[in-house]
Amino acid sequence: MIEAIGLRKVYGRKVAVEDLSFTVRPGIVTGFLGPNGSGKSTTMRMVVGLDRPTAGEVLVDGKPFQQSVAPLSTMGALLDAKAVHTGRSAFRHLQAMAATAGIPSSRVEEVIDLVGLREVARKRAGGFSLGMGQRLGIASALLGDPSTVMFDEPVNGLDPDGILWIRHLMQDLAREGRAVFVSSHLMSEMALTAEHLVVIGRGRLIADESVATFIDRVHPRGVTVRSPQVQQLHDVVRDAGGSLTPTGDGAFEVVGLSAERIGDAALAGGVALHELTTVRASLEEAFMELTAGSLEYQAHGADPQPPVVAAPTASTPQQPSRTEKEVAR
Amino acid sequence: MSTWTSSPAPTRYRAVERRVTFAGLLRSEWIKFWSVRSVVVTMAAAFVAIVGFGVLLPLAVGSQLSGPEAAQQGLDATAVSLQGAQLASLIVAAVGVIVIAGEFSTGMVRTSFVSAPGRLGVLLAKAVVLAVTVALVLGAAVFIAFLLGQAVLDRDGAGASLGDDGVLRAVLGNVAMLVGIALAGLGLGALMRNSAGAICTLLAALFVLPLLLMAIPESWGGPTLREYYFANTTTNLIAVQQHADYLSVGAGLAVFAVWVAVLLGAGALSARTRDV
Repeated sequence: MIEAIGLRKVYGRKVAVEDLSFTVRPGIVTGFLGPNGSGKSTTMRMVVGLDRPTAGEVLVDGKPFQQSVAPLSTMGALLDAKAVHTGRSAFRHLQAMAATAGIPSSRVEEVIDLVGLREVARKRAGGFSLGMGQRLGIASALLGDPSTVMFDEPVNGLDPDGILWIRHLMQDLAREGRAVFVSSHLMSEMALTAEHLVVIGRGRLIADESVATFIDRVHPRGVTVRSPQVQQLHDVVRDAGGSLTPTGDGAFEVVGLSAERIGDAALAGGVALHELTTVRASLEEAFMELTAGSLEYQAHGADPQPPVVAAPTASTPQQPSRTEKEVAR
Repeated sequence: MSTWTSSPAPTRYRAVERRVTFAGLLRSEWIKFWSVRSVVVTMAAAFVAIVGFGVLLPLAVGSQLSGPEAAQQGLDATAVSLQGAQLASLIVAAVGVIVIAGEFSTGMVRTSFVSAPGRLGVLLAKAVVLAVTVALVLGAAVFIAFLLGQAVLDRDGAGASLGDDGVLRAVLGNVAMLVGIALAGLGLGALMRNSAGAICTLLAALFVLPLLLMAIPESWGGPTLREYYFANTTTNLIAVQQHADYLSVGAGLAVFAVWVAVLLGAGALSARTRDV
């Protein structure tokens, strides 16, 4: 279990994290979401005491991690795949970690098999691919069989197999009653794994709530309705107080009424419905909407100017533009 | 599995508490020390330097000796056979630096400090493992160099024996010097977190600064500065023949220990307080 209370971290004149409070509870996967540079990694480093908070504190199982007498069984952390000496083999790396707390070497063998590094365990970690490095980091995190695990961007560099594996791993760990805290800048990844979300932007808390609540924050876009009785549908919706716009493929988007109201009204009016779908914002859209304005590194291509290369109707179609030529070369 | 039968709500995971111990940290640092090739190679280089010079220099000196009279004229047979330790001191300084700065440059230190968040235990264990390893491995090299070197010098009757006045002390003094400089490297490595920078600094401190200090005139306190300066404190410790310009064996050892302790302390303070 992790409790952050009023965390603040300043590097020089740059505020990386500001007044951040949240709780990571046991038994569920808590996603930690934010754009690149929003302070996720800084926060995670403060959780394990690698960085000292400028203000506030963060507790792991009720006390600062620096005071933990059994750190490896309290918290397993994958902060980045590079927290390894490049000249040491994966096996020796894990063995050296295990030795600090008297963890038997049978457990080292166990985690090597668990993450699938058996064949390269005796090779220098410096030669590992990013994916293998991530697996070694996960093995390190699980070594002490901890009650809390924390993964910073664990799917980075993993192949689809590996991504699926880590998703299941995190859910299994949570199901066993552990607190699982996982960061990502990918909303879709969180949608598939997390039950609860802590969302930050520019180091500040944006949301600390369940994934469902987070999506509900963003207003439903409307309700898609399809019916063969177009005119009657119009009348029924208007009478009920909604407005209706065609979507172009024969359906209509209704705004101002819930799907239930539309369905009831259609039934009362004798209108047959072929489709009645609430259009929800995707997790990505919800995320974009809430973090807009808190992006650290905003792309400047988002202004209304049309992109040069993609423009299908160029003014001089017989002559390829300079950009196209350069691309062609 | 019991959660299926007892209650549907997720029970909190009860981890087996595995406490970090100093003995565990020592074991961990021992594994770390011997599992990085660069460290092993560097230690081997120091060993070869000590033993190699222990044979080569006496051979060179021996060929110039015309007889026992010349041997009496200021030849420190012990010091001649242990010249390799001077070169090795630079190499062990590098070993001391890379066992800690290598962790900072690779990112390993984050694993070390998450496994033992008190941090000081990690550094202390490193210091103990380094000191013991240098004392045993290079101590053996120093004794081998002495014995081989004296065997060479004995062909001209100029060899010393461990039973001679001050000889055993000088041999052990070389071992102490090597241990101290390795620890100074560890301290500086923890302070600077950069292998190249810390090694260059130590190189300058051991071999360049003593030369510059020679240029400081007496009116500026030159002799005192020279006496108390880090690299000069061991001058009498490591030789049988004593120089009146430098600190005596006991005083030199004490001042040397203070220098090493200060560097280690500064490194520990930095490791303890700075973000990694």
